[in-house]
Amino acid sequence: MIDQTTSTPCPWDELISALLDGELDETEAQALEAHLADHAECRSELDELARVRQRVRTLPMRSGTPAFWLRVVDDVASDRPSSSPTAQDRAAVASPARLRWASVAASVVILAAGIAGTRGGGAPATPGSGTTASRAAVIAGITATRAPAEGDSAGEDVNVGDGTVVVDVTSTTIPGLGSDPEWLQELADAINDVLN
Amino acid sequence: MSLPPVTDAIPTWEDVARTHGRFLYTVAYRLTGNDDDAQDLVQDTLLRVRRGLAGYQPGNFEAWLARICTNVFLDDVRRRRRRPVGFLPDDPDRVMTPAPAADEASTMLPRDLELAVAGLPDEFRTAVVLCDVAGLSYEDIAIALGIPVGTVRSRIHRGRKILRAALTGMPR
Ligand SMILES: [Zn+2]
Repeated sequence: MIDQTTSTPCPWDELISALLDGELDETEAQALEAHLADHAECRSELDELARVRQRVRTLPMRSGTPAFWLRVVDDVASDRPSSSPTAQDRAAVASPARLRWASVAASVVILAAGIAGTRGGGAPATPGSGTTASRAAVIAGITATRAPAEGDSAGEDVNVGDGTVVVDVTSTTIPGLGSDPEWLQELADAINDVLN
Repeated sequence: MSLPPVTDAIPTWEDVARTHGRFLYTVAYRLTGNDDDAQDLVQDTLLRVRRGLAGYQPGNFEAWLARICTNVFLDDVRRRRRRPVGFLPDDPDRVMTPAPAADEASTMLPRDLELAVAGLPDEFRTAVVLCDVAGLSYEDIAIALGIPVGTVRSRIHRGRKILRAALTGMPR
């Protein structure tokens, strides 16, 4: 059951991954499949490697933190490589460019009015209204202020301190950087830091 | 939920970050095995993209992006001998004892698999990541790594065998 590493492997073995990847031409694939019908060891190899392959392919994607994206777009725009001494120490420093990227890089639409609503401790303002909202929208370079559509389940209310940022994560037209609530919370925090 | 119109226009690097940021970060993370190095790699890849977009030929954009990312990574490896923080498959402390179940590979924790990928030797990890994470064809991987397609095929195959061995403790 366990191949010795010193034993001679079946000569067909080396084609197994290519078969899984659809990288054999038709003749090779047919020949290998015919062999598989006769050779249990190669069949079990195929099964096991198919599982490994599938597991690697379904590992969760990684997004990077909002703070990272807010920093890196600034650094790239300024032509700073990762090794530059200033690049690493600036993560916490906010700038309008980074704020803009809070929305852009994250592929989310921030309903700017939500940012506005709350400085006075009152209820969140209606999306799309208020002067602070306008300012925030300008700073952030955000033009969209649409509220989540009816039946749009993914509009997320993210509380930030005494304010509320409404982040619409329905825009799956863009792969985006995050849709899980914790990530959005971080993003909201980062944006709020800039605004306050 | 429809995709934006596809054009052959050269995207800006900001477009790249916006529309492919997560893809890029994931490839970088799988190549480096940790967030710190992945962040550096993403940054330096975007810089190279920003400087080199004029040379982009419309085609498989993510293959092109993954190739740049891999080249930046390999340049770093050569320069700094950076190593991932994962474990090596033959580390006796980390190799699990074989379980009686034949399908252990399907029950292992994602974190174990992530560490096993991070612990692959560079030549196998780059091939496996470009194939299974970035989704490149063997031909595109051959171009990215500057090696023949036959070498791509054997590296992917051996890489998967190492992963399987690391995850089941079965030498093959
Ligand atoms: Zn065989």
